[in-house]
Amino acid sequence: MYIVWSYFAYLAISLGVTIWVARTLHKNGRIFLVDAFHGNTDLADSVNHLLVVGFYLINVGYVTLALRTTATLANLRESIELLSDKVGLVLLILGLMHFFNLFLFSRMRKRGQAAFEPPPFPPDAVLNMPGTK
Amino acid sequence: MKRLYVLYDPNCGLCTRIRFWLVRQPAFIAIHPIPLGSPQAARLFPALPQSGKSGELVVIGDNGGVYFGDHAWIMCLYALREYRATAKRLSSPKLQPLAREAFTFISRYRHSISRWLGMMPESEMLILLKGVITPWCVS
Repeated sequence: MYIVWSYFAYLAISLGVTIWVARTLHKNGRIFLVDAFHGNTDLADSVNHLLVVGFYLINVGYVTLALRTTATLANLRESIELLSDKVGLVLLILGLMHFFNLFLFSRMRKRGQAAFEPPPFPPDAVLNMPGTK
Repeated sequence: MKRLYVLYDPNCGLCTRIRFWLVRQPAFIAIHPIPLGSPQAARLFPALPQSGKSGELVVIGDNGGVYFGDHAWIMCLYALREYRATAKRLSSPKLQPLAREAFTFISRYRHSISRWLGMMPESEMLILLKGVITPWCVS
């Protein structure tokens, strides 16, 4: 019976943490994206939502794939060890995904800011420009 | 700055190739290539200050800022959407001397490089195209 309870505990913990991280990303990543898209909140919300959907798919996919075990659990100790093993891996992957998302957010923001960046150096000479439109 | 006038050497195949590449790129600042020494260049910039080297790349912003040589090349990258970050990197104190060396080298040997790579300069293209007999349109 240990194995079934371990599975349930694993699913509950993994999915719970996934949902928590996804919500955190969704809530706090929005402001980054709004800035990256120059205040275009519709576009920012859309990209934010799409990112979170991708995040859920990858993580829930991994959690369900990693559920299976061949270990035979004879006592509570073994089942806790297995659970910690599995949950530990899920947390590491979630952490990596989280940092990857942060990297994406910051890259988008940087790209957005490039439009307002001043020239890298002052001109070598200055011309009076009456002839050009 | 909304426009960047790029005065390039029309007698150099490499420059002609780069000129066509530049205008195809998505840009923050619109690029207007003008052949050096052309009537258009003389009309737009009658008082263009000389940098000393003939045929050297010159870039002029619509705000009147003039850039020569390696600065001009980095300003072209700065105008492009995909290469602004590269322009920033190349203009950092560590990389700028290297970028200058590279640009000076390519600029000095641009005619030889064009010949080796078989790139036809714009001036030759124009002569070639003038020789083509265009058929009359039959209405």
